[in-house]
Amino acid sequence: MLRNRSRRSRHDPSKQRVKLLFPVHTIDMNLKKKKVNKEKIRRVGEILDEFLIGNLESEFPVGGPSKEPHGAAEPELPVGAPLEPREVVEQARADVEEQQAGEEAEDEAYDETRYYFDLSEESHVAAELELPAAVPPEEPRAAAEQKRDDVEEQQADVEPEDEAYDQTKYYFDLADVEYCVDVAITEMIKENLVPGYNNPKKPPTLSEMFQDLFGENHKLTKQVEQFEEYISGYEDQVHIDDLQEAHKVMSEIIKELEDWGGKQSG
Amino acid sequence: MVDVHIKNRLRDLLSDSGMTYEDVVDASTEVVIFGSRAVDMHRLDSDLDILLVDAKTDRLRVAGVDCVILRSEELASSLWLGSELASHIAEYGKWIKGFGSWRHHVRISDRAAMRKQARIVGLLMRAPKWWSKLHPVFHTKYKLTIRRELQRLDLLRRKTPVPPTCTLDSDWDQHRSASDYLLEVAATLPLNSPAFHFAKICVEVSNRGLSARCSSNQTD
Repeated sequence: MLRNRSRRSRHDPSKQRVKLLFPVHTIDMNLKKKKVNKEKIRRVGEILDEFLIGNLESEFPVGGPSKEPHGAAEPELPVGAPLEPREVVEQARADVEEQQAGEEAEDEAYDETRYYFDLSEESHVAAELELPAAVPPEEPRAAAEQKRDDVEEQQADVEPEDEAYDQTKYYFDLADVEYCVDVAITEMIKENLVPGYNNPKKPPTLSEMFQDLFGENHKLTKQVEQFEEYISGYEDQVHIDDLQEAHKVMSEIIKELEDWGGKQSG
Repeated sequence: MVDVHIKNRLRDLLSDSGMTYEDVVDASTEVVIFGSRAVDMHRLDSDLDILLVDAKTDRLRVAGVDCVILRSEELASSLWLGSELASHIAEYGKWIKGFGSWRHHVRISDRAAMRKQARIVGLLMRAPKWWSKLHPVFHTKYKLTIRRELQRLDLLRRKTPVPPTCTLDSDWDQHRSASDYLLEVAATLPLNSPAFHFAKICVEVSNRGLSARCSSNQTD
């Protein structure tokens, strides 16, 4: 709910039309094909990769396994190369194993070694030797599954209430995202990569800069607008799904900038 | 009632994006203009803020239009009725279509103030980390944002609907909103020393008049 807010068109001061008394033929400069320096394009891609993707990945669980300190993301999150310090991952894994061990200790039905046996021949034979003769193998398995179902059902009853109150798992502070983007824009300004932004009077947006670099209707400009839409959030928070999508779109943009720079040079 | 200028502006903006006024207005059960244009205190480049209820689409991408789309059942939810935006629209919105019976049930919730508080704390606590990496133009932007958010927090805590940003700026520039008072608001937040120092910088008297030169706009 409340997440249908369409993106703010930050770059559209031009809709105030001057009513002319006679027809005037004008050229829309934005629609003219832009001639862009390939080195600058490549550098824009590098900056976005280093300062935007880099900062997003260090601040949020995007592009890699989720981070516990921010509140874990959903386990279904698509993950790429691990980005966290190894200790964090190992600690998380150890925690999970410890938790599992605790659960198994509490619940005999989960003692798989008692009821499940290796399918390989030698171990199967060995297992048969240890199998209690009086208990048919399927019975405890069914009991275990029943018990597990009961536990899961019980957990399912509790979880919706928890989820309703624990938004920190899926929503992240917009401030972090804003700072990440503005730092990347700052780098582009510093290196004077986009004409007209060497000393801006108002804070530019990424899409404004792309509009000036490539033109209003260029695919890359549209993709940047899409990125901005994903990170615009609602009520000053951004959902992890939107962050993931934003990360994906920005990665595609960077890839295209690399290709584009290469193609122009070739 | 919405004056003819706003309707014409909406008509023009929709037309520029290949849509008709009827496409949007007829397809919704309720259409409300809010923000600076609703109170006629907008700048030339101000977006037109619009609430659509039961629109046929999930998103409306129109240049110059900032759109919130809700379902009618959401209007009755406590989450909506207690929100900053609902109270703003109820107080300052102008209905193009529908009656907005929900607006009589709006009451700013503690949650709305808590959300605003979290927003400010987030901005202030993280500022020292990023500040040196930001261009001065962003320094101005964040100073403005934080000062405005403190003004909004104060209003939300007093259960008062937040006016459009231009009104907040006007209050600030005309000294109707005192720096000392905003600092007292900041002092109630869970901030560490660098973050509070940063809050001080944001509400310094010398920052008055910045808003006229900067077009960072948030609520509206």
